[in-house]
Amino acid sequence: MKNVFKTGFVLTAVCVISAAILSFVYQKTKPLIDQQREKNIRIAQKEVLSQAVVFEPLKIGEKELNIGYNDIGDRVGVVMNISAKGYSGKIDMIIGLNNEAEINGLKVLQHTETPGLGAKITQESFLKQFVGKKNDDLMLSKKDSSGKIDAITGATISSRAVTGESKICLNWLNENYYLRKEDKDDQVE
Amino acid sequence: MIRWNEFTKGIVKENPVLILLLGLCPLLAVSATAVNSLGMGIAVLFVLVGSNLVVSLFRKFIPDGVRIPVFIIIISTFVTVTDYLMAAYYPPLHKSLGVFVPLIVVNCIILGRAEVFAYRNNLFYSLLDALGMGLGFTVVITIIGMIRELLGSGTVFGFGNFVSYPALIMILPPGGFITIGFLIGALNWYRQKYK
Repeated sequence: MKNVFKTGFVLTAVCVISAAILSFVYQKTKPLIDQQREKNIRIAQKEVLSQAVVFEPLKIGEKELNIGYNDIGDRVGVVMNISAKGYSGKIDMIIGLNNEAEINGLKVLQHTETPGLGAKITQESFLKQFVGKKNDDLMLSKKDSSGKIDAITGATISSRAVTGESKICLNWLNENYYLRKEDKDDQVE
Repeated sequence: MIRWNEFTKGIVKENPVLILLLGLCPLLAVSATAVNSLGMGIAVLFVLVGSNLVVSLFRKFIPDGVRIPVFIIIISTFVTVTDYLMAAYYPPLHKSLGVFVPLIVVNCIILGRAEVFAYRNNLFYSLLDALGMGLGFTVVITIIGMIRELLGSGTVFGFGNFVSYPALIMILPPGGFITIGFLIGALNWYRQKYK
């Protein structure tokens, strides 16, 4: 019976010590980790919309997007974070569009697709197909004759996820951003 | 007399993967490419050394009845701390190894060495044991990764193009089982022949 208290005490002590170490390290590293994450997001934004120098957040409904401006203050496009349902989990992407609602750049930030198969969605050879495409082009060419995206061999689901989600995003932006933007521009003039 | 065999045993004679058959779950999951395999191997080596040292250092204070829960707390604390530190101070390394770090918690090589070795031996031998076992794991997982990548996608460490018609199955889970089966068979054949 005496042993119960002893082992209980040791177990509690170990837990308290490990919790203390964890919270200490967490607090020390959190600002650095957040800084790093923000830096990565800024780098990714620049990568998909390289003409832009400054980004300003804008909220439409529940979605957030970033408007990119060049060095003389002209609006050059919009950047948005999107997330698709892939073969084995979420695929987080960042998409940049120019003023004509064409894709300027697409980048996969994080994914859990099969290494060697679905993971090829991060490769330049797949993603560069999206550059300059409008929403009607965003279909897999093997499913639809009007589609202009070639799927990766053996990874149709991952390819379809990326293509489908960017199409949804473009449709949404066309309805909620590009049409309204023209209204707004008219009002200003 | 230093028992150097505590170090060398992990590499061939008691190799954690091919002889003890420990840690196969994360091994099969990440060994589809050679780069991933090497990353996982190094991450395991690092955590194994850390947890073996801590367990060995406090082995006199850990009561027998609750040693397994205590080991698990030590290992998971160590893994989480490693994860945070890497993310904060070595972001490029964290970017390439980040996904494997949480996987290390479920790697039973680490719990196994804590229970079998570090709990019963002093600090120095625990360090030797961890280095040997970690190295053995790294070598084997890298070999498996290279074989699977070569046959499955035709490259090695992402370079070259050696196979014109790669067999997709080698990158998928069955390829992992096949590769590891042949490796275990080869090692057993070798050991029986040259005993």
